[in-house]
Amino acid sequence: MAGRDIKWREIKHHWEIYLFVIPTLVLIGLFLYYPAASGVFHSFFRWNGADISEYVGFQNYVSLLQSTEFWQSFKVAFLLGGWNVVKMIPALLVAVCIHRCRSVRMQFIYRTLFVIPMVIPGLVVVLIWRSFFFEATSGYLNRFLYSTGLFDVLSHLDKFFNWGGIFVPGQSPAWLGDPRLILVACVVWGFPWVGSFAVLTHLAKLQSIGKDVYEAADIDGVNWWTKFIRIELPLIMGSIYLLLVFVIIETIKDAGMVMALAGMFGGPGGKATVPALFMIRKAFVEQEMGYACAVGIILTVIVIALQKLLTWVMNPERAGFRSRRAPAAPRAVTAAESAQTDDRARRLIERRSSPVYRSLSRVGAGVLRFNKHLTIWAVLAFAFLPLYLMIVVSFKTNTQFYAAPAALTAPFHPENWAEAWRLVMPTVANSVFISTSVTVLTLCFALCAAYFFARQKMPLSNFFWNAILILMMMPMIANLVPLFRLLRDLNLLNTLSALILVGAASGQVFGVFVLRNFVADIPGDLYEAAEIDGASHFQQLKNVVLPLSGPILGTVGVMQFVAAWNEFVLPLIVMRDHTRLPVMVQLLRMAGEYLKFWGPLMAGYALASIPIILLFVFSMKLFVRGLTEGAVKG
Amino acid sequence: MARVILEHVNKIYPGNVKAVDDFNLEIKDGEFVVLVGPSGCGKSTTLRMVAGLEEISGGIIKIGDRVVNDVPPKDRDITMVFQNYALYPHMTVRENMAFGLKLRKFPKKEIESRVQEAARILGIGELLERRPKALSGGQRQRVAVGRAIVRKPAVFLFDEPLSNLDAKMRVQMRVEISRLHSQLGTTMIYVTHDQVEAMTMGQRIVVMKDGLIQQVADPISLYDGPANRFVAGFIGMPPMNVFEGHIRGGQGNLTFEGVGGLRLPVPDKYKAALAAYRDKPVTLGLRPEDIGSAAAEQLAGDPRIRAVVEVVEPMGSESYIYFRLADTTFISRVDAHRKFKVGDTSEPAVFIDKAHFFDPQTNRRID
Repeated sequence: MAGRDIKWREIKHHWEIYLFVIPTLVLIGLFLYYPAASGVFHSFFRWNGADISEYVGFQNYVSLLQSTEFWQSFKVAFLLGGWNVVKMIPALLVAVCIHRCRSVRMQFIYRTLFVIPMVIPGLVVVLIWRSFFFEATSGYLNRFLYSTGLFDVLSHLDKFFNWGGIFVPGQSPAWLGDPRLILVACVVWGFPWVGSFAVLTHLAKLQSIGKDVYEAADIDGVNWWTKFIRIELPLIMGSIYLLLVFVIIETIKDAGMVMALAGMFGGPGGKATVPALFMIRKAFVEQEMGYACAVGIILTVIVIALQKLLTWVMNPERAGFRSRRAPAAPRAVTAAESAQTDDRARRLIERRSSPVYRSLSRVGAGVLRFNKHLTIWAVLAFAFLPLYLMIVVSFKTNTQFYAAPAALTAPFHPENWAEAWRLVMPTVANSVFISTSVTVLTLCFALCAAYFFARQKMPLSNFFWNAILILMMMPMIANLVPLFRLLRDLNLLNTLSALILVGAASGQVFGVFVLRNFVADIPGDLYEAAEIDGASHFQQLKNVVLPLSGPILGTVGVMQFVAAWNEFVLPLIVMRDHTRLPVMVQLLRMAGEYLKFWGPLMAGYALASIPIILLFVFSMKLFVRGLTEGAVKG
Repeated sequence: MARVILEHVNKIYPGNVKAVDDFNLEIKDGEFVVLVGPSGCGKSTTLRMVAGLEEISGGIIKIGDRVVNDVPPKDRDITMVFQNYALYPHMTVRENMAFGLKLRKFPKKEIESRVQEAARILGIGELLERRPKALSGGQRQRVAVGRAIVRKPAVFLFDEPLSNLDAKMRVQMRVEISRLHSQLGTTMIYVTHDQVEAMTMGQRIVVMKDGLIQQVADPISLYDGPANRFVAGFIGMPPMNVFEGHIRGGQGNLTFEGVGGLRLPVPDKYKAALAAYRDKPVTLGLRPEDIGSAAAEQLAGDPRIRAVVEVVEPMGSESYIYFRLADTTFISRVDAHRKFKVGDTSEPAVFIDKAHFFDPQTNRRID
């Protein structure tokens, strides 16, 4: 930390630095802390958001805790969270495969290829899965099951385990329509589950393993599996822990993807209702806002508790963890034993130097090397499938689509794109405006606040810092109901400003956190030299921090932009006027229309994805640098 | 230009850690003072308090005739050269040097002429458009000095400016900074942990340890009359040899007797002082060049130490001979052409007039 302690009595020399943190504090105070407080307050009321407001004490909580539906929603969330942990494995596998590629160029190509399909907005992927993969009569999932014969296996299993006739010959399973399958669909979608963020994080960590470590391992005769277990895995364990916590928490508090896949009511029989979705439904459909606030509070409490628990359980420094791994107490090695060991080693070397063993191991290594590329290409093929379908279908008429959805069929219909442009363009413009504004505001305010936190330790700065850290754990969505109410009181409902301000406020948390680390890592004597040169705090920010923080600002900026672009739950609730919708909500509306024109629809999806894909491809170098340099340091 | 006065200056860190303890020093106008000591001795903290980068816990610091305790760094009329150069990585050399003047709203012409002048003095005229990344360590250090020069401050502060350079560059920059001082005649305070830098550059040297001043003196007085065992061991390379022993004998023929049959007569100038230590422990200090050197050998009749040669380190112009005497070792610095064989017993002469005696309890010099 560059900072030094400033005491209250020195404050007269340094008071200006507080100006740096005020915008951030105002934003988070107004849009994050006020709704949270208001949520706590209203959770004690029977409240419909308008005319009815009656103090009921703990009644909301009591009826909530007795409600099976509520606990069911947590069961669903935990189930999905557990599966999402399993779904982390492919990303790890892919990262190791890419990392093991000898040629730097191949590594670069693979990395780029992986990023492209993975940055398609989540909503678009969900919508594509909904219409192409889960569809009962001609969906690809069912076709895959039939053509591979897996369906027969499943129907036998069905009979054997008595699943109740989910898979009955001659009857296509309706993935999204069957209450018994909807959860499976929620787990399966997005196969092969290779998130670009996870791959890039793992890769960045792996790249820090020096070549000499591998050379030493080769000399020691370490095989590829042991290399993975003993060298690579321990090194990326830190980022795996972080991602694990992140993934579980994200799933528990998520509402968007389930909403997009299964609808507002959590699919057939409400089987896929997650807590946040339950809350939204209570608030905006059943108008029980007080009750919904109580749901939000409990969600917050559970998420924070879970986070504490997870970090405690997974802390590798914990004594229990270590003692389990610690070897048994060493025992004196007798001469006979050591002779035996020597003998064994000699025999091993003899065996290894035999021509048969050598040729076998060479073949093995060759197969492995081939497998590495094969694995990557197989995963890539699956990953590109949604993108491929999107592009191919976008040139078809409905007739062509129903005849052969996945094949390229002439004639092409580029006019679909013109039609999509007409449908989507105004909302794309809205989204560009919103996301750009959110990004710019977030970066400006967060950088100033980061300077405040990193540069000097001022009175109260610890207090403010903790206020931001707490927000990192708080699920924003839990405050949705009081936030909605606040926006209404501020007359911001149905305005782009609402989305921009809330976006910038929630962006502060991550932005300040990452940028503070970066600003604190700038060598302290640069600031001191500037101070001696006569630079005020503002001049230090402008002349020292800003010119140095290009890459990290780029990284945080891209992430903010993407997050703002992909956000659809808040706009769905806040926006009415369809000329002001962001593009994601527009896509959701288009997908909900009864009569679908697949060509223009897919072209619209593509139009909504292209800006993000371009942004990522062009900023990836920067992004990777940012990840390796600062962002994942914590 | 100005003198710098520190009166009873203290720095206390949280947890009652005294980094600097009652520091008193008056630095004359135009003087080159070096603060030297091992890491953690408080030398950098003292310098940073003069700069205003560190709050003063107690005492008074004056630059010129002004008390600067509450004056921010930019208004103290000082500049500082940092160990890591602290050049702004995104600015060219010219911009780096001009930055302080620009913030002070100097006219463009004046800035340009000052930058040119500094570049000329330091010989970095052709580097002005480069970024720090494209410079070598020595060049970066020169730019850092240039940035300080253009400000024409009353006091220059140097915080270990040569520690990041390689050995050869360090010697060269040492000379250049000394030359700069004689050219500019500005007051300079220089912090280093390297006693060679301190000896070669300082007009006066302040030796510090654990936040306390050990001794303030010019280089030669420091070398010839270290005030305590710490200074004796810190200044000089290889360090001074120390022997533990007792003062024996009667009036007039006091001797120092140590382990391994070591017996050395006490020189006349110490007799009065050491009389009080008869039959009491004292520490004897002998510099390596005062054992077995040509000067010592030439003075016939001088006492000798009988010891075994353990290691011979030829340095070219001279050799360091490591002797073993009972359970202690000592080093002698001799002409490179004198032959010593490892394992042999030898009897190097001792230039006893140059010996130093210390009280083992207080570690102070006995005079």
